[in-house]
Amino acid sequence: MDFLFGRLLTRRGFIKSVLVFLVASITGCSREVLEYDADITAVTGEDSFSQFLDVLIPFNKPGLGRYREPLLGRLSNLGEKESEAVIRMYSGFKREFLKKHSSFQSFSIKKGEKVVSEMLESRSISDNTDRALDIIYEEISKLKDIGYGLWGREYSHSGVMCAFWDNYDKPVIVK
Amino acid sequence: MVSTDKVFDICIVGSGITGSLAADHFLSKGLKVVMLERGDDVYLPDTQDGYWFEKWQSVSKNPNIYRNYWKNAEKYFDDLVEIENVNKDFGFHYNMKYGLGGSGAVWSGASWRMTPEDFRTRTLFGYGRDWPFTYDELSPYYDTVEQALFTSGPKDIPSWPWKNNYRYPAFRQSYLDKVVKKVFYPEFNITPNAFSVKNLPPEEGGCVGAKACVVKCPANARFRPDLHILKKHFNNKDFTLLMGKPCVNINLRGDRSVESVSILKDGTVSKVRAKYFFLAANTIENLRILHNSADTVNGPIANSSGLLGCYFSSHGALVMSVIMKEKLFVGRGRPTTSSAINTLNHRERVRFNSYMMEIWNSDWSIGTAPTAIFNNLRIKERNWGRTLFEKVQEADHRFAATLIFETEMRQRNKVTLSGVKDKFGIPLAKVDFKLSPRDERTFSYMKIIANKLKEKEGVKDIKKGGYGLNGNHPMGGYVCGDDPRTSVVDGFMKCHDHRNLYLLGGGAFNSTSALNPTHTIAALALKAVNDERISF
Repeated sequence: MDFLFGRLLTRRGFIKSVLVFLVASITGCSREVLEYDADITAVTGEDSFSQFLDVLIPFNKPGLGRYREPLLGRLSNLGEKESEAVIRMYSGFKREFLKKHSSFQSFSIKKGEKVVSEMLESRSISDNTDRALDIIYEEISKLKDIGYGLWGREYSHSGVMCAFWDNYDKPVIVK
Repeated sequence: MVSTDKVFDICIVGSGITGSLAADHFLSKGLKVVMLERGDDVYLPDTQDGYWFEKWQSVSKNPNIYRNYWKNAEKYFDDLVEIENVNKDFGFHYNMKYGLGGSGAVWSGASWRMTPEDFRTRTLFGYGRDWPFTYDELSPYYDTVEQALFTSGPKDIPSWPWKNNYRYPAFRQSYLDKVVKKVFYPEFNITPNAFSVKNLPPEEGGCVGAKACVVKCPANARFRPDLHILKKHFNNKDFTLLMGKPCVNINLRGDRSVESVSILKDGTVSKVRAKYFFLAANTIENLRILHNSADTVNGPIANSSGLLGCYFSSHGALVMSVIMKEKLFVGRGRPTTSSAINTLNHRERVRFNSYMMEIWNSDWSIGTAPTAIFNNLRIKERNWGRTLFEKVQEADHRFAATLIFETEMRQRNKVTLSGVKDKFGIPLAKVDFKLSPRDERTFSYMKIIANKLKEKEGVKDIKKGGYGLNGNHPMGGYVCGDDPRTSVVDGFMKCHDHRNLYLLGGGAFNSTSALNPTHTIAALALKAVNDERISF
């Protein structure tokens, strides 16, 4: 309730809250469905959000783990529309996962992937899921040196001397 | 200002590789040379996308007109082209550029000669047209070109069809090249390419292996006619360079020799007079000028045979995305360092055209850097999760291989003028091209080869990445020969119809071969300027 009153203090928040209330009344949705109104910084701090990200990005692969924190940093600074899309997808993911497995204690990447797959297949929610994925993947692609992480090795940038010009006829050690 | 009274010794239309070689030749003899360049700048795009890939956009469906399209396109690509009656996917999408140095300023540097057999396809294999001279007669000019364009190429390769004395040694083959060589042998023998790029240590001004060498070679190691030929003549009092002045047409005297060319200058037409004229724009541009010059008093230009514009062609290509089992460590070094040319004169050339395979240092159909690949796989293919990241990793196992094939030069394939005009009021080129039954058979054979390569040990998969006609290699349109009834120019690229008009560029080709034409175009230009009939 505090949250609702806090929002009512601004005109924009008031209109949004009324709309949320009306839509919820008409569709009979619970408050849980409308969690996109939540705060992105708080959401990205949740343990289950971290598990959600593990489904989308294999941070356990060599070289990728170090990009988790920088990505969370970028996601917590998303604009309003982008935050809304990501939170919507995450809320949907949480709801569907809990519906199937009752808690996140038995979480596995495979189970998570199945949920996301079904969300992408479901006509009613696939658009938003796709959009949220675009946002998350766009954010990770903007991280400094992500190219190195993606291939696990250095590569040559256009217009500058090849990183391997002296030994480009040899294999590269992949870290 | 160009004095309308001044008569130059030599007038050259176009400042690309052939125009620059011609200017250099005549200026070194102390002659007065005027060079006309339609572009008013040097075309150097900011990004790889700005050059490396052909992009075109349909402007109108009826007539079917398209244009090259990317950033600043209008500045360099006002050359719309109309296409008529072509195989849907084998239209010629013109991709040449205006500006100082012409397309030579953004040339890949691939420096192949044609094979001796390519000059005699009619005699040896029963198709096409024989050239009026042999490979051996052109060979000395190839030698000169390889020195002038500081070509780097291999030595002591057993199946190499030529005897070269390259100025610099060939570039080392990449790790990827070596893996492909091992897997594709013996059908394809992967050997180093010849490039007009200095293979010297970077500290001596050689290639630094930057992937963007075609766009902006950071070391200036790639040959550029503007930098490496024309620049040294900028202060030569005998050299007049007129930029931003499109040549509109040619004017004849009563004896059918060329009196002048008309150029557009500040919206008005001026005449440039000279004793000899060299059209050194590319095939399409030369043909536009020639077709646009029909003179009601003195008759058509260069067309007493009725063949002007005919026998037009380019190279066919089938692009393959090859996924190897072994990791290839792609995306480093030059865009390409090797090809397979052991297939050029294959045993069945009587039935199928000549072909070769180019090995690319990445699978550019999905991007050339991991982040670009990641974005492509997400945005275009909608991959996500582990699959997305595994596919990005898999890209380190992928490369592009292009099967390039010769096309048959036929009279029915031609360049004429469109009814639509460009911004200068010059009619567009209209290209009418159709694959011959022999070309279709060759294309089918390329697809069979791609499927057979799939079965090779070491290959995980091959996806066909597209096919079409190369928009960078216009050839034919003013074929050469000894008989004025069946050809437009003679063996020195001089028009049969006009004693002082020479046509440089790929238009004089009588066969396309399967190899990049630039080196042959340059050799023909040197043959032309050395014609002993040119006298003062």
